[in-house]
Amino acid sequence: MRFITILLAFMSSLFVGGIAAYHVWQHQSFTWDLPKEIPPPPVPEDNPMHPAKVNLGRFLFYDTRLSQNQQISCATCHIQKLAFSEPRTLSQGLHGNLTPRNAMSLTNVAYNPNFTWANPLLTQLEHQMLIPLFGEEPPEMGMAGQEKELVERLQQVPIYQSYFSKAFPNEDNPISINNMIKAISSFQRTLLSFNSPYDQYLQGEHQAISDSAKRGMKLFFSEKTECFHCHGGFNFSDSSVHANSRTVPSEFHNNGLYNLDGKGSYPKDNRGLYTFTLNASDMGKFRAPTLRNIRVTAPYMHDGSIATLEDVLEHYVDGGRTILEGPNKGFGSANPYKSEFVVGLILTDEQKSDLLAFLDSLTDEDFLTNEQFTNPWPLLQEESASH
Amino acid sequence: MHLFYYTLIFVISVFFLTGCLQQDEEYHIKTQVHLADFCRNSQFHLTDLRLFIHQVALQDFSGKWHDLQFNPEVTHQNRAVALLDFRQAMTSCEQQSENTPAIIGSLPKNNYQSIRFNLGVPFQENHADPLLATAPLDDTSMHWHWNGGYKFMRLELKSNQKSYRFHLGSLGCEGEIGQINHCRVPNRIQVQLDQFSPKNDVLTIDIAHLLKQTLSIAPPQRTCAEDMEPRWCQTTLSWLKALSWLKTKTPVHPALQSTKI
Repeated sequence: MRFITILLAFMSSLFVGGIAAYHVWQHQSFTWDLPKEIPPPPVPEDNPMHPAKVNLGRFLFYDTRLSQNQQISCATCHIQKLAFSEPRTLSQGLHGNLTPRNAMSLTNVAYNPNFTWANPLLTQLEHQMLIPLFGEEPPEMGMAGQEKELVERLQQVPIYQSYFSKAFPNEDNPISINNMIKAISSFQRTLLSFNSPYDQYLQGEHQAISDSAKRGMKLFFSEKTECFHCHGGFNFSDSSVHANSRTVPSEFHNNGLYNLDGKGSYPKDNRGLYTFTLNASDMGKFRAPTLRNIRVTAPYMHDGSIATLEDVLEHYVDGGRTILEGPNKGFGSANPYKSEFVVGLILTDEQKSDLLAFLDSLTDEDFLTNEQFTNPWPLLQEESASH
Repeated sequence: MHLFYYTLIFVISVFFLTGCLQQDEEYHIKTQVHLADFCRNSQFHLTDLRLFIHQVALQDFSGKWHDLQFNPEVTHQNRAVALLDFRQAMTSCEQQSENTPAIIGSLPKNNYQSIRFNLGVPFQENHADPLLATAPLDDTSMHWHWNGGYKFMRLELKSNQKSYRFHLGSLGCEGEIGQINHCRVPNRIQVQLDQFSPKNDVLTIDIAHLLKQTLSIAPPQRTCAEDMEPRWCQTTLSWLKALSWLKTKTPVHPALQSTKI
């Protein structure tokens, strides 16, 4: 009897100890670094934010072990100084093969109702990540079928033993694909950009943006340009989800880039929403990305086919793109599935430069240089060298 | 207290009775891939052949179908689905049934005359949260979450100059990953083979015959992932549906004593 009592006492002390440890972990709580008028983004119930997870996720985001040939990491195509986008027209997979699309900026990615340029099925960062990691059409990081090797690679990194344990306490085997993905998602949810000159202007700093940008802002929000219909809300995008929002239906638009056959067709690898719904009317419909930091995310469009922001503006002035030669020739402006808001604009040169000045005022230098988001590996080496 | 003993006796007797009535036994249904002709005569070689099957049922001689209860203890199966991996079997042109996976499950002890099964992953498992997947659905090379589910089958070919892939899975899915409501093109295939004995016959995919038919049509440069429209995708699918499954007698012989169904 005494033995059982001792055993019970021992077990309950373990249990209480476990709870206490979990309690401490829970109370190292995460706080969002947001202006007070911006609601926090939604977070999946099974992946609550935690500083230890964000820290781990940052190391993983910059870790080339996550690709088959150990040459590329998430950061290869998502470069901080370019608002986590890249300057290539089309992103490259690990073998140098081109993917069909241009890497998207990760600015305020936590607010996106869905991910990638047109996939309505991917509504969580945790699921989106399966595509670059394990996708084969085409391979990006090339880890398909190598999930066990990946876990073994991570297990061999000494700091991951402690970082995974801290981020996922009370788990017997914290180093797993699922936890790796959870940590990277947590880091990505901290990539918040709300401190541009435009934001400062909204806070009452009247001189934060130029007079030209102020005129551009008025134009942007006017029915004359219609820009705000697709680039609206606090994130200048189609729609945003946040912690208190209802489920937001995803929106996709055809902006008249192509019209291969006069019936609205887009090039084979880039048919947009049509690929998923198989509805003819969804041909060429893509997500309108955030305009925050848009100046630094060139080239533009899903396939990087417009080189500069000036040319993007001209595209909307023309109400669609005309291609006279080659396999993609056609009159995009006559695409039958084109958005009703892309109808062409009459703008003076001054109005154009005002609009561009406004778009420039959405560039958040703090975001592009924030030390919380930089590659942490060199810092770690410096630290260990100094000991 | 009496009530407790009565209940216990009742439970034990029900347990034994149902045991006697069912008389389930475990079956190992052998599978293999018939490569021989293709392997010797084609400029292509097969680099991958893997497929999921589910809802395997056998018909007794009274005409009644019995579901095979998958054994979930083996790593290539769970209760709902079995992954048949033929990569080890493709190293030689000859039959290598010892390197091919068996479908392992239990059935009432009986004699059987036919088998039927579905190629693919059942809807519920196909669209469950992939991050929580367990074997055999945790193999990321069978993941196809760009389209919201799994690759039901991957068939890959290479020659010196070209490579082709046939990846089959559900397309046109609506909803979001983890909560898909419906897929316009489910792409699950039901196959039935008559005069099939689960003890004596080998379930054989006649890849030689399939590819002889499909490679005469130029395969598309990309996979069948985006739509099943290209003729090669359609033809491969229709051959898979009916005409590429054989039963062969054990012991398997390189000369392939087969009966075309």
